[in-house]
Amino acid sequence: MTSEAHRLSLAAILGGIALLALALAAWRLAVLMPPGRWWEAALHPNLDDPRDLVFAFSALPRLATAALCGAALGLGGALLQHALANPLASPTTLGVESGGQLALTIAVIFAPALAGDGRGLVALLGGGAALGAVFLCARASGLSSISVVLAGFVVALFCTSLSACLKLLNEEYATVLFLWGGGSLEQADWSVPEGLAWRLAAIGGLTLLALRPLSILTLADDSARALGAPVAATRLAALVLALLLTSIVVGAVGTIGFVGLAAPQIARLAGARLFVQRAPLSALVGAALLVAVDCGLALVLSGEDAVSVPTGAATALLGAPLLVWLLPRLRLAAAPTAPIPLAVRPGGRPVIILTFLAALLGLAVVIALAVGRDAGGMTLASLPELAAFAPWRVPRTLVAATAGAMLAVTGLLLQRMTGNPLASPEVLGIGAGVAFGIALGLTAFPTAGAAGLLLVGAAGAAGATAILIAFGARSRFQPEHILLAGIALTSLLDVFVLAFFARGDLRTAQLLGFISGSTYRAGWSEAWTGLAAAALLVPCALLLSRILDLLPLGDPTARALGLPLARTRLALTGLVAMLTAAGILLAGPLSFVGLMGPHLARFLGLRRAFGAVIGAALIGALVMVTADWIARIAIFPRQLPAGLVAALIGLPYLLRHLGRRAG
Amino acid sequence: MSRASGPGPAQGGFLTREVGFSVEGRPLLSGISLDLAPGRFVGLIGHNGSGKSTLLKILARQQEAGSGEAKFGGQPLTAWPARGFACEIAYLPQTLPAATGLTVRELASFGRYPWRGPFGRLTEQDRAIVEEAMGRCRVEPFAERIVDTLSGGERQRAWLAMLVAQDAGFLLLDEPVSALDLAQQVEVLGLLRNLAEGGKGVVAVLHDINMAARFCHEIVALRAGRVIRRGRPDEIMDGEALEAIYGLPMQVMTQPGAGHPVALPR
Amino acid sequence: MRRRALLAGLGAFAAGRAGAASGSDIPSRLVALEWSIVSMLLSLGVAPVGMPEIRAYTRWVGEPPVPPGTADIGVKTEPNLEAVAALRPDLILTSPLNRLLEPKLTAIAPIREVPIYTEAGMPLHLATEQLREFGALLGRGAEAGRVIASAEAAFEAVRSAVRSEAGRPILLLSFLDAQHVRIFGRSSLFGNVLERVGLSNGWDRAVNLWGFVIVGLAELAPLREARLLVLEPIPPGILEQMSARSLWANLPAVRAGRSATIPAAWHYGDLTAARRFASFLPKALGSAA
Repeated sequence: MTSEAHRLSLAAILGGIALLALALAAWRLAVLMPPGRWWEAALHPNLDDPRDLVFAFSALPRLATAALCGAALGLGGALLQHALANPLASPTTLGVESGGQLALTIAVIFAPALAGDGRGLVALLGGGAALGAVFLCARASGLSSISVVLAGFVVALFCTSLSACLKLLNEEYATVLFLWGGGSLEQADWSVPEGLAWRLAAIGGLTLLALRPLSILTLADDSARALGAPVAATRLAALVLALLLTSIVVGAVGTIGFVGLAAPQIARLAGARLFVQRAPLSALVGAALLVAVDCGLALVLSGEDAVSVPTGAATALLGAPLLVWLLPRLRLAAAPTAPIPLAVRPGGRPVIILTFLAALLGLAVVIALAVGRDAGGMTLASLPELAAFAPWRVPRTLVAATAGAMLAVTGLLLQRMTGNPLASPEVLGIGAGVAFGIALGLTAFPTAGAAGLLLVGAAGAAGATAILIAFGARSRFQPEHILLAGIALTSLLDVFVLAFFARGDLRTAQLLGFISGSTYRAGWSEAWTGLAAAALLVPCALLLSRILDLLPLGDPTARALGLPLARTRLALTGLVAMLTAAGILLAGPLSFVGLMGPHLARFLGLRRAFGAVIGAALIGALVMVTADWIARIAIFPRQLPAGLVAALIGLPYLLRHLGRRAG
Repeated sequence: MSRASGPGPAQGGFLTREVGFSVEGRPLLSGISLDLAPGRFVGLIGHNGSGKSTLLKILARQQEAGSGEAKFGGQPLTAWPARGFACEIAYLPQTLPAATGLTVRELASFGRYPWRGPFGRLTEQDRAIVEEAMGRCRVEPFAERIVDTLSGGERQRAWLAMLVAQDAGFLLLDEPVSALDLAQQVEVLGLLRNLAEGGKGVVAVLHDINMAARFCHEIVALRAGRVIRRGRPDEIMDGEALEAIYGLPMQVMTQPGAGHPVALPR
Repeated sequence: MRRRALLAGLGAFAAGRAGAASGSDIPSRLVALEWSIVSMLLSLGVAPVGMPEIRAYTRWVGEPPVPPGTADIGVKTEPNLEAVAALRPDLILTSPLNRLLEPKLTAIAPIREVPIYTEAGMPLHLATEQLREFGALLGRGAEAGRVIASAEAAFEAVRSAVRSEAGRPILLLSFLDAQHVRIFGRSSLFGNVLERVGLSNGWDRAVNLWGFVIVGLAELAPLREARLLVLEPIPPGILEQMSARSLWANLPAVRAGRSATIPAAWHYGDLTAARRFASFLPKALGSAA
């Protein structure tokens, strides 16, 4: 059969990866030291020879660290994919790594003592919390593959943005935090690989012992239960083991991206159908992958360049294409996409609801403009004072309102297009495109002005959008594929953004401000831009409202009613891209208003798209204006990024409402 | 757009010549040559994987035929504009989305979309057609309820109301009664028969040969992607023909009292 | 001697604030957006009415101390514009990093950019020049002259104290974590100081706009002859981790006892920070002989 030949060729690929890893490692070591002297230099380094020093105390422990981290992540990824029956699960895609990273950031700033030996524990706590949040979010969708990945991405984004804000407010720690964030494998002694080795031996050994009981999860839950297996306990055990494996890596070297996703996939493709085969094989593949990437990188880069492209970030160069390659091979359609399980009040009069929302928005705007804070406490501005404050408060409020409205409408469009309650502009990769553009702009034109940065940011957004549309065209604008392509694009672009950060450049603050969603830089030109974009694009969504009502009836029905699907999706994708680019450029890549706006609109009883578009826009504006006001006064004279405040408001809401089961 | 301007049902129905369709080299349909006229209720039967749904999807333009030609009203299917086609042919997919967020009346009103387009408003006449469709499908009592909250049978009828409101010359339905209990099946199939007798063309994929025999004017049987029998119910309800269709010896009896033929595996 | 300077400074504050009341042409309500500028003003005895992150300044820069009554305007990179405007400044002193904010700041008050860290890579020279210009601008030419002369004298004193060490190159670094260090090149403020006191910098590879570069510890190994000066603060636990089997402990300079720590000075600082750094050099080099 052809599948035999197929498997054989894949086994060849597997052997190829191992050989590649060995060859690159050997080459890397040979550059440092003639092979004839390896043994001697490792055991009895000549301390007066710098080459021996580097070989024995840096290159070898680094090689060991790469292999150990790769093995731990490969095994952890295999456990996650197995336990969740989800080929897209991995420590990266489930937000475990970013959660650990956030916890470490908090520890470095507020409890430096913990950031020493307790790093593993801190990472474990953060990773566990992130995983819990992902489950709460995706529970409503029956933990379908795509929902888990979207929830993981959103949680990861949240953690990243909170970390960015903490770095912005504690700039002096930023450089070291970025070093960790990027996952540098640089070593200067054997303490890290030794610590990793015994931890991995303990947890990995435990996992290998438990392989057989764990493999019962291959069956569907009902069947496994019928066989008398404690399904919930087994799954929990698998998740805890995966969490521990990830945490020891994050604690030791920071975030190493896609190895946990790639290794089990490669093992599966190589023919390891059974979990008992796949788990150990994934560990081996993971080790080989990370060694290959790290040694390859070390051969290409040296000195300060090596620092600016940390290995962990570079794995995205491997993982993002893999994700793109995996997409068409996934049976996404088979995943149950449960409806948004929100109570709907059919009797709600849209006009009354919308009037109420508009009044609320008006009130929020008045408060945002009139109430401030100074060194003495809260202040209420008089009319003449209002005029004095106008140049500061009006543009910010306008930018927050228009960006919030546009992002919320985008979320509505995406959710109606995909039928997935977790779809939102945050995951489209356009934010990463903007950040990439700004990073590039700051590097190429260090003294660019605000208008210049806005321009390169917009160019980045346009580029990301073009890639997204080009990719979408291949899959006939299948919404799930577009969302996943967005995630892949984000991961890829983030490598370059991270490389910029890791240089320790003081200009990073400008990029940090953008990433954490600050409206600080909003001036009149931004305000008018936002207003013009919203005035142009939101009515477009209104014009399409009947189509938006039609799409949730499903593709066959929509087609049967005479809707040209591919063309409609192209138009909608284009509109979404423009709305996202404008919204994100103004208010940063994260706010969750894209998720919250449509949900709240629905919750209030705005079922039909026309009312829902207006409602979502009003809610988005309301949330962002309020968030911006809180961001301005909460820790005066310092300021929080408005997007982050909105996300902080939104996260508990999301966990509560998305977590509610249907029915 | 009015009925008079387009090629109406009077000018004919579907005509297919040697239509075939395959997926990854495996033929699902081959050599399908059929003509389907309006005014008749045609049942498509056959065992699972015989190509019934695929044939229906090709007729509904949900999929493009891999080979051969398929025409409606004398024009190739591909030549029809999207909404013009939808004014002529209504299609009910096999699986319906669980959640729409729409009330029954709103769902039924979407039947008017092909006639009014994305920007047009519904006229008084449209509203009357929608009300009439809801009446025929007996969904008026829950017209203001959200479709998602209805029982399986009610939901199926709500979707049918949308199809009826579409006021197309042809209705193509993929297993329209699979989710219904017996009483509901009889009701829905009776409705389809009435529509056919009122001049519409109705083509439905049906699983239950006895129900098909009782309500359809004509039965088209597929096996392994080919039409192997076609005829009136009394021609199909025959031990030899049914064995050819289902690959299983069947016995046909006459229902005492009503006189309908009933087939059972022997 | 330092105390006397401080007392003189405090007296000058009073004079500086009085200037505002008398309505002279000399700007007196100054807001500084960068710590190095704050430090320059304070060294002239002029207190800004507003500055960023006072608490962090006290921790990272320390001297000259910020007099009470100075308002905090938030983080350096995103100063609170409402807070700045509320101080009704008559001059805002910015760094090139604040260039994006210029349109907004000019709406509040005239601004003056104070370039110290530029592509030229001469922060010590520029800090001195800027201080002299500040003196002229703020009517404190005499103070500026005194501060500069005293710093020059201090540099000369250090120069003669470390003359015997002039031959051996110095690597100036700070630990980021157990694997990475920040190395200060010739174009950094402290690199300028080393040159000023006649010492040679052992790092001649590329550095960034602020004159430093981040590299892995392994990059230190080939620099066998150098003397290592580690700037405090050192992150907790790092030196403990440097066992006998670590790269650091086996670096030729460390094994030969040619490494020492040197107390903290603000590495993005001004003349005061430069002078402070220089003053620690003789002792640090003495212990790392």
